[in-house]
Amino acid sequence: MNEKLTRWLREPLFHFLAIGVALFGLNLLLTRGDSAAEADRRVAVTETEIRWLRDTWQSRWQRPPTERELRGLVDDYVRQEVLYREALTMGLDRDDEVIRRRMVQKIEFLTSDLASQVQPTETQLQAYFQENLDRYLIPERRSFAHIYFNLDRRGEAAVADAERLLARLRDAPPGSIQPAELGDRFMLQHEYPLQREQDVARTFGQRFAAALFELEPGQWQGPIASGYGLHLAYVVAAEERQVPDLDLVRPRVLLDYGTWLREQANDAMLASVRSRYTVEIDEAAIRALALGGDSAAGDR
Amino acid sequence: MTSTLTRVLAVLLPAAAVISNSALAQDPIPPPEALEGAFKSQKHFSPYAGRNFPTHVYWGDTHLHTAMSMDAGAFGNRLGLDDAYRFARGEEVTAATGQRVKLGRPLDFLVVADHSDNMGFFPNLFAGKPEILADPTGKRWYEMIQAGGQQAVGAALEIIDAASKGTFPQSLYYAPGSAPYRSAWEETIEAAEKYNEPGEFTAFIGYEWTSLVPPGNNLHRVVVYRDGGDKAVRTEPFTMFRPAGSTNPEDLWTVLQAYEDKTGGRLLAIPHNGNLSNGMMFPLVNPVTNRQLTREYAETRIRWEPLYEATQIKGDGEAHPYLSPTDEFADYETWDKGNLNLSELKTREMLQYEYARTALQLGLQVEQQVGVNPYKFGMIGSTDSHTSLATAEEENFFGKHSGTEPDAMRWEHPVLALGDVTILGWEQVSSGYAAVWATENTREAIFDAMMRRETYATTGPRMLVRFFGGWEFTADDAELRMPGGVGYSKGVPMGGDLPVRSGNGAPTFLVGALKDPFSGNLDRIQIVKGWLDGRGQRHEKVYDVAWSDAGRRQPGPDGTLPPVGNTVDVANATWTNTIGAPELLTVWTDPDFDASQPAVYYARVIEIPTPRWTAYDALRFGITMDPEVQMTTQERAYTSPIWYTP
Repeated sequence: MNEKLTRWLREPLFHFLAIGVALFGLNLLLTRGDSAAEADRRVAVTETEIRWLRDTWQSRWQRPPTERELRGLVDDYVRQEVLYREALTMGLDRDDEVIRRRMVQKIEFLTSDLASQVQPTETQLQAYFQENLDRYLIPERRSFAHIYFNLDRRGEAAVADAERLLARLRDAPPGSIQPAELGDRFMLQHEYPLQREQDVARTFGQRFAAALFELEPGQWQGPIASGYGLHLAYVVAAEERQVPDLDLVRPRVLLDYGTWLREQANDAMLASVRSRYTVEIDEAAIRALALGGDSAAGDR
Repeated sequence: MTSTLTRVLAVLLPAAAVISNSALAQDPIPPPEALEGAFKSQKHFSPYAGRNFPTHVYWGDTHLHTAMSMDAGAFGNRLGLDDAYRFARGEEVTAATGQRVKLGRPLDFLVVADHSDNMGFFPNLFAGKPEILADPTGKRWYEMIQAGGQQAVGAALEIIDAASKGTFPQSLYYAPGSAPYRSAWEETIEAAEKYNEPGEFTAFIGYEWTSLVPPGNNLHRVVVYRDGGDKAVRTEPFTMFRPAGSTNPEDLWTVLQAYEDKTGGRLLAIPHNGNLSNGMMFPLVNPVTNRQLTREYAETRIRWEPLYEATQIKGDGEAHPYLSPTDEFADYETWDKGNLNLSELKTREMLQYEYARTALQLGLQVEQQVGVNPYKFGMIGSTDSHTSLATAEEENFFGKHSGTEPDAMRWEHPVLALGDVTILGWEQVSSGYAAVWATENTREAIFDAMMRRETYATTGPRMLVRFFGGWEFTADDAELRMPGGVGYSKGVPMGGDLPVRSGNGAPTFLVGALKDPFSGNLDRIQIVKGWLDGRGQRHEKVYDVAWSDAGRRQPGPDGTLPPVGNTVDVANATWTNTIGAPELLTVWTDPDFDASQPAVYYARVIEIPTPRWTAYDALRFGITMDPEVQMTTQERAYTSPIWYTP
């Protein structure tokens, strides 16, 4: 299919038109008789249906059906159609879990399909980006050095040891300190360049990361605790939080926009449909029939 | 009747309002280079920066299924590729059962490995595509799945069973070469390309070749691409159903070679779940030819399969208590009732061909006969989760498939059953992850580290493990500030071969572990040695080489180290790190070394007891489980081995 046509087919407006035309046709077909009831009792097997039966057969058997086979298919179709309509009239579609799920799914597919075909304009993407800016901020980064105190090795003395060393470090001339040579041995690094808080949290735990990002840069401080033990820390450089240009984070924003749009479309559809119904829920029955424990008051 | 039109439009218009004013689809925009990670910055202030050996462990799952896998879909998973990647990258998603879920810490890399057979079948079955409904079996499955709940699980079991017995309806099969199959594979590739962000997160292209030798013996392999979509798209995944596919691993290797010849790309394959292979995962006799393994088999296998997935949700595969009766930690999360569909029960004779530890020794035996070791593999762990959620944390475990996501009953529902043989929900293992020592977080760097086996497996926690072998390590090296530096300069890292022996000494190993700051302290480090005696017979021994609380814990007269203790409060699902050590590091020399005997060494790191996922379930759902249900666990890591060849 050529590019232009493909694009055209993805246009939501086109979808609506197509759905509209189809429904209009269906409507005509079904109301062609004198009354709706009469139309409901009329089964027309036109070339459209027969062609569809033929194609389905062909895709399975890799050849067109013979006339006898095709007649068999038509008979089967008629049988299915009349029984289907009769079953609908008798209300057999209600309270059937399989049918309910399928119908719900079809309606959801309609909106999701529409949403997934759509790419935002530059203006829309910019607006979405600005609205959700905090998700794309380039977080503050800190470089730091630390000295480790192993609680298992030092026991209760660890805090005092750390504080004693801290007092010495405060008077030490800058550049004279090799963190790797002080405190206890540590299998990870002693210096970490340009880390985001989330990077530090992955290695040292959330508590340590939060504490580190509270420290005043430019001096040894601590001790602060991590999952490993105690640390003295020195924040040597800080890079402020930055607002990125959209182009820098465009792929991520596009991904998020797509997810958001799909959810919005489904939510909007549900909300609108629901608003046209009056929903009455027997609250007393919920309380009576549920497993005890959380009280209804807790829901408020 | 006229109202139908208005009604439909009324339903769709609100959605359209959201979507309206949108532009036409555009070509994807190339990812900017600017986001490459903080770690690549050249502005080091550290004197130690810029070293050329890996100083960073990257964490990932090499084995995750999404709704594209037919069985995952059958179990009710509707989460697709996007959800899988978003979740692995640390974002919150909604699980198939409607629960919100987020990883404690993001992963660094992910291989989405959907089953190659029938890839994409399930989304179409679920959507009720006419060609599927036209088949009576397809229609029945469709209805069972639509009904949801246990009926859907029943359908899933039937589908897996049909696949494993080779009775999957031919007319329903999604075969390579067909249009729907092609589009499923292209979707898989596109998603990996979309989420791969060098320096920040690696999304490997991959798939699982799901070989089941009738009646259901598991010879599965995950295939991982080093390449991008431009190459991967040029061939389709290898399947197991004839005529296009095969259940014989040698045929897979032929196809992998053909891909590399055609595209110039690179692939590797990772076998898993020998425990469900009923003696077929690490054979001495090729089951296809009924002859001893040949040199060609050995060369080809080790060319493609540098790693083994030693632990995952369907059981731990490092060791088995029958094979290692004196190892008190060998019976860990053992699944040994039968093959994948329990259609054939386990016999003791099968076990030696199923577990990593014994396989490493079998490899030495084959090498003596044909000159090449086919089982010279490194270790990784992964989840094999079918929920699109790579969870291996005990307190955040979402189970094997969508039918075993958290609820009050999941512990007692069977996950596998045939006749009276069952494996119950509580027996699922919240495991594992793959740890890779790599120079940066890119497809190339991580893949290359996998090829050189600089990897280790964990059952979930992210402890840091170093393991080096050489001839000159001394006790002082364990006191050094930078064990990594001396490790690389005086020896080889995990996954390597000991250098040629110099002098008369025994091999020395520098081994260290640092706890996961989110998990339990460390109990001990062990070195597991396997070797062949002068007659070519297999032997193994487990040495405790470093342990915590050494003041009160010393080996008894029989050499056994007393247990570390247990601080777990099961009722509250908590523990304290008042026992164990945050870090263990030592140099160990093999006391039983015989220079004429080939040997293989790997390290096993064991944590103190912590609550198992079942304890968190019992607490959160306020339920009491049967007394046989394990409530605590000792999580662990297995390093890739280091080999000695006389």
